[in-house]
Amino acid sequence: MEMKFSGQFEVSPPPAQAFDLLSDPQKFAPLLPTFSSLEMKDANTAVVKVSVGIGKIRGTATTQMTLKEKVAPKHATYVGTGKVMGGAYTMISSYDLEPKGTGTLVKWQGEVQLVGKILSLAGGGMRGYAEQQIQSVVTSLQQAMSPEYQKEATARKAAQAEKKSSGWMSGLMKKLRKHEEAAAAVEAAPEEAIDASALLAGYTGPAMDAVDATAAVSQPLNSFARNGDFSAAVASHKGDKWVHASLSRKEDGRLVRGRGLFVDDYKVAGMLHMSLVRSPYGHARIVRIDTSKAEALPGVVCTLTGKEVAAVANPYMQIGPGDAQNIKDYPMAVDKAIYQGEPVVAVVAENPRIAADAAQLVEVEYEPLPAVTDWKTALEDKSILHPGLGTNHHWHGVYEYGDLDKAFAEAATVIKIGQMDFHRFASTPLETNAVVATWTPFGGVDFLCNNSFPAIVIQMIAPSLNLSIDQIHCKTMDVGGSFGNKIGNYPYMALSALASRKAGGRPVKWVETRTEHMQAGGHGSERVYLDTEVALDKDGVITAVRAKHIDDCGAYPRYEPLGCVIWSQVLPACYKLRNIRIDFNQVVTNKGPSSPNRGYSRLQQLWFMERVIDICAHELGISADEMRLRNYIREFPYTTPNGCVYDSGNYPLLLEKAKELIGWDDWKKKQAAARAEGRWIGIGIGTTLDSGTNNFGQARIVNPYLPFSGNSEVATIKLDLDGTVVVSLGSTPSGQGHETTTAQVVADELGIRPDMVEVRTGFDTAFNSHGGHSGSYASQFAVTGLSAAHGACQKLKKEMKKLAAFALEANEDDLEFGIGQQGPELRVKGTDRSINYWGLSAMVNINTASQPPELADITLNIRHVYRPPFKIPDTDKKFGNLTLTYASQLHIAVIEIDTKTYVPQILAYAAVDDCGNVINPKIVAGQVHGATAHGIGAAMMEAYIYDKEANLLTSTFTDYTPITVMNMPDLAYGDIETPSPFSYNGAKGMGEGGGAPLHTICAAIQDALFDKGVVVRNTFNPPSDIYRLLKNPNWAECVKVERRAA
Amino acid sequence: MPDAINKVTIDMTVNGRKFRRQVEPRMLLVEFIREELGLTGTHIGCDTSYCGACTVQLNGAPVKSCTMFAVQADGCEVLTVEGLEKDGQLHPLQKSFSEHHGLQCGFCTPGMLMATHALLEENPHPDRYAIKKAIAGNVCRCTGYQNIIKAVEAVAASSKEA
Amino acid sequence: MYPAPFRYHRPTSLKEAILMLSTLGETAKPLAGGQTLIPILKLRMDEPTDLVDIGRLPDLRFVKNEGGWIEIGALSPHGWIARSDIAKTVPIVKDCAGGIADAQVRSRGTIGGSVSAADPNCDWPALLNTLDAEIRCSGPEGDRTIAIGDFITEAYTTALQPGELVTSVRFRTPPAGSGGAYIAYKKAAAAFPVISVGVQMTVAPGNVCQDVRIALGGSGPTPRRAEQAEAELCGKALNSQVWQHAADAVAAIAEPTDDVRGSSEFKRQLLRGLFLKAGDTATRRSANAIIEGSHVYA
Repeated sequence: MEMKFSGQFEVSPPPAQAFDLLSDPQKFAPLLPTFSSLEMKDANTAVVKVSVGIGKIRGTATTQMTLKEKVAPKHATYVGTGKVMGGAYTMISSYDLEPKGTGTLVKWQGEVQLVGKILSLAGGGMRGYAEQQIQSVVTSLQQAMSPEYQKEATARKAAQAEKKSSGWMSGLMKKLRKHEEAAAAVEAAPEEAIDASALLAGYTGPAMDAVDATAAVSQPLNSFARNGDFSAAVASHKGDKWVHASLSRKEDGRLVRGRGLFVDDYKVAGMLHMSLVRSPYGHARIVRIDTSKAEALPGVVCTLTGKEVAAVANPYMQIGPGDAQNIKDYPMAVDKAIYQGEPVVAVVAENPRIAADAAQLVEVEYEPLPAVTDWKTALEDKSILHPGLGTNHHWHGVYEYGDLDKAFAEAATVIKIGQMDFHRFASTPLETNAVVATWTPFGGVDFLCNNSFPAIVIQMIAPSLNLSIDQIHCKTMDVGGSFGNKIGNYPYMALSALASRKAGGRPVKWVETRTEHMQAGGHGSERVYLDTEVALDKDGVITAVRAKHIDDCGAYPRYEPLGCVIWSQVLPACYKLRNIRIDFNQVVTNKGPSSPNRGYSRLQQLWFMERVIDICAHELGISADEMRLRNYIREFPYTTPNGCVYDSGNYPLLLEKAKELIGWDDWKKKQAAARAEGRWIGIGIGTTLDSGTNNFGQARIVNPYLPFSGNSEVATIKLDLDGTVVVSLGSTPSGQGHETTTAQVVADELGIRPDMVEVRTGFDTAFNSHGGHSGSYASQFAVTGLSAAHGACQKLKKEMKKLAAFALEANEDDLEFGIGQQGPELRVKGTDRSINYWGLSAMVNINTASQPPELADITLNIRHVYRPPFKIPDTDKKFGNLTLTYASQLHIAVIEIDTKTYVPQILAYAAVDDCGNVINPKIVAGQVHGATAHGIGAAMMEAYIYDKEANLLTSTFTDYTPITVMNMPDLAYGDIETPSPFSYNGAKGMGEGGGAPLHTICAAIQDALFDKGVVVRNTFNPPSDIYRLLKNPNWAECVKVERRAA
Repeated sequence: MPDAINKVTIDMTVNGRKFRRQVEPRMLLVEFIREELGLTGTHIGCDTSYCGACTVQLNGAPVKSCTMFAVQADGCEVLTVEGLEKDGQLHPLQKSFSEHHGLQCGFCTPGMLMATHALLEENPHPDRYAIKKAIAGNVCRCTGYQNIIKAVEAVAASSKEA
Repeated sequence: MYPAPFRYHRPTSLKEAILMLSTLGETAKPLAGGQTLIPILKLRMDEPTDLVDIGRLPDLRFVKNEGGWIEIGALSPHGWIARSDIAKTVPIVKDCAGGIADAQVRSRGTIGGSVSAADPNCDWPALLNTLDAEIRCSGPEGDRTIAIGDFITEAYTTALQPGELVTSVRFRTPPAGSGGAYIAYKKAAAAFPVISVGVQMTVAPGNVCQDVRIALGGSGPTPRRAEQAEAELCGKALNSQVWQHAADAVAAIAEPTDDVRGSSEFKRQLLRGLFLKAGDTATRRSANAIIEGSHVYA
């Protein structure tokens, strides 16, 4: 945000004298009416403090002023930088002096740029405060130079000297004495006198003595059953098959009691707390850091700067090719900060309040650099973020398939579409990023964290901290949502580890505040679509699409440029076109680093294709449903032009089901009637894909030298000493109910009940149940996690059968699994001969003398690695199968836009999902609800908005407004099941959804305004934007059609 | 920042049990509950009073415990999610949330339970709109709110039958 | 997230509170429900040395309807007001009180605190302007009553002197045949209103507007009264043309800011739309129709 001021005034001294005053901060600063203190840094630099205040809020503004230009006696320029509440500013002010009579005419102009989170508070409402603060500094300067002021200067100086000598305390005491005198003077009003010492003490409450101040929370020891709540849920289920049962979750028991263990709930003796000082600038050189005041605060253990970090740690591995390898990404800014909110100094203290107090005392001097906030400016390369990369153009590649020239030459219609934009937003999990890190006496690091892809994180952190991977013990418990965002929190994990090391190995807890999360916790990437051209045949079937796409991944690529290939998992979306050319690019900008976000990179492509479909349909006068039916892929498995294999699906059936759910025909009639009344009602369709289970070989398409391919997930299963079935996973569930669905799968395999299966909570490297791809991301658990658990079960069953056959003197083929009188057992079919799990375990673990030598290899402790059948893609042709399964979604929305207020309201919403065979219908429906809410929120309410100085204007929840219940329509939910031929269970990964609501809502808004000459070409459509669209009809400008003779 | 701050002694009844503690005046109620009493079911999800994860009942009324100082709750009765279970029996709302899959990650759940518990105490048979209004200040990022509403409706309906 | 340290004071009487505040000076702040102040302190936008907790002062939570005046005590929480008899008899009060923020904030936030905060976008100042309310204050110099228009002097700034506190607000009991409506638009319950409008009007038989008062929130640094729009309606038989003219007059005086919640131009259009809706509800309520009003979310 920029403000400009200018003016002129006359002073009585001649130019030489006026210049002398003006060019010496020591002389004129004390003249400021609100002056409070001055400190000279060097001959040309002064730190000036003035008091400022608006309304009820008062504070001090500190400005460091440097005399940059000095042309005596004509011209002086000051560059000032300063802090205001919640922000910082840069002020350039110049003075030109001309003689006038015996005096001087001073012409001045100032330019102020304001940065910081203050700009976002209260929807920008707090901006007024900051403006007024700065204005008061400027006014002060102006006044300081005026003749009247100079007359008073001496007197003021003397007064100020006195004021300075009296601290706050003596000021108060003086006031109090005055009051006492006044009170004494008033008869019969002794109670009005206030005891000064009592007032300074404040209210203290009753005494602590004679009361048990150690009373602690406890609860009666009621009798309890193992897995009590889950057993009750299991008992209420009819039938003995568990896969496909709508079972209530095992996780719920602790979570509804508030007994989940999220990172911030974890406390350990000696634990310290870390708070971060973050850059208010989007792009600035770090000139100087002074941590001395912070370190002097009692309770502060240490501070840590980027330079200290860089001295001992290696920058993180970069995924990008070529010069992208030279990007230096550390957990803290070293020489410069490149986004607002980038950590600059860490403060470690005994409690979080002291840490926050100390963070405020850290002094950082910045030199602002030009900010890059959009793809266009980024590509100009005038201001470069990463010197090692040498450009902001981080990645480029062309994806071309089929014969574009031929398709366009033969087209009946070619439609050209102008720029379209996919905006910046994120799922903002309700639990922010958090970690407790301990640098242990054994030389390694212990993490309790909420990262959702720990397998990659330990591979990132170990080389950065010069540790072996096994020296990192990484553990998660309950995770309060991730949606991909928490993949990117590893820099904070490493930072906390280094802080712990500096604090002598005491555990360090770091919990991100919400504002920090919004600035720096991981944004979904923006994408812009340029030069789109679509070829269609005479029936409205799309034959070719070409376009140029540019991703904006923010300041540090981190997980990028994987997004530059992941979108191509759904290259043609749900449509059968064979000729596609996308020129794909990625730029870095001075915005928060991006991270995977629910629907990561695919939803951008799906939105693009859905917009293309609807814009073409509208142009050709084909209805949206008919257009889709003409273009849908119908044969499965289907190999896309870039070699991806869509496993199964039935898009026309999805459409039919969704139409039925929403009452399509009825709404069509209502729409017609409403239109006749001049109301704006629109119906929109979105068909999307949720591609799951990545082939990591696709990473080689962005960088051929990366050593990854395929995918893996691990599960362990064992019969414990008491015969309990214990399973551990490699996933990091954050609400998806893996403990429950795994228990369902294992129960079916062993013929027992889910409450007889112990599935361990969370991820733990100590479980030894992880591989290099373990984690929860990319809609894969139903395939990878459950395949691993299922595979482990098969191996365990084999061992159990061998043991049982020996113990029961029976043939393995005659044995069956089930539940007997003594719990889970194997028995000889048709007999009462059986051995329970305890018996089997005892043979291996306890009563081992009875185990015959030929069974000595049996451990009843299985580790199974599931590896999907992937090949390494052809990196030159960018061709190969990139994902294993393709769940599909079809959403329909009916939206009415109020003709008076432009506020859109969703009147009806239907979501139909196909994720193949469903393990737990309740959980699947819940995932669809959640993904739908994220999409609706993003389409209508949620956006990370930056100004051109790289200030984030929506840095709190109150400003970003994540979707609430008041904004959500009632969802009509339905499903179909087209089993995947590629997973053992016919299931497809799901959960991310394909961002169907983003498109569905855009389409409905477009349909509501069908005759207004507007084209919806942005994913974000708040009422203000709908209004702007209506005022500036853009169809003719954005959509150009060439019709060819048949 | 003033020079020296005396701690304040406060009495609070939390989940039916009396506590006396000395706290810094600036300690928020949510910090008191989590740090002083170790009741970590009450969560912190934002810093601007938007998300409601910290909702507790104060003398029966739902409040955001992140937007209140512990000293302000001196002498008050506080009910947190840990106080809903009675004699080893979950509150019907807790059961219903699980049965209707009204929670996924569980982070917002304590706040949702306390907001709707307060609602049902005041109005045992709320309609759908009243339920929505009661949780308008509670953010859930997982469920799209659908099953939370269903879970509360089920309790409202069952108590009607009873 | 964590406020800076402060001293805490808990006076037991209004007199003591005033004395404390005026003694401690400008670096001390009164703390009522804290729903405006505490978020500011948590973000360290302000660091008072002392907080004087007036939340427990006796006799300041009340509603009265006596002698042609409705009076609401300063420490009455929004939710409590929304459930009071006053909210039943004067529906516009319920529109406002029941729609402020969310249920939790309505439990704690008080009308006195809200009006003292003088946020340009918040609900009570606009509503009280619609009702031509007076703010009753008590301070070191004694008691005084200030018209709402004089009470809020600038954005976030009131006529309150150091040590002075709001004790109640009051407005004339609307006569029979008077109906009102207040509508605020906001993205979510806990978000700040973007813009709001209140209409209180008396409609005589024949659908003639006898008397009307219109106030706007979020349309400038302080709530604005739309006098020209009132003139467009007053004494006229209400029809859609009259309403359109009034709506134009409303939009003409609004000066909402351009920000992330919308352009100034859009907000003026939005205000126009909300005004027409509020006008419709107010008209129908003046004929005793029962209409649940509320804030608009999107």
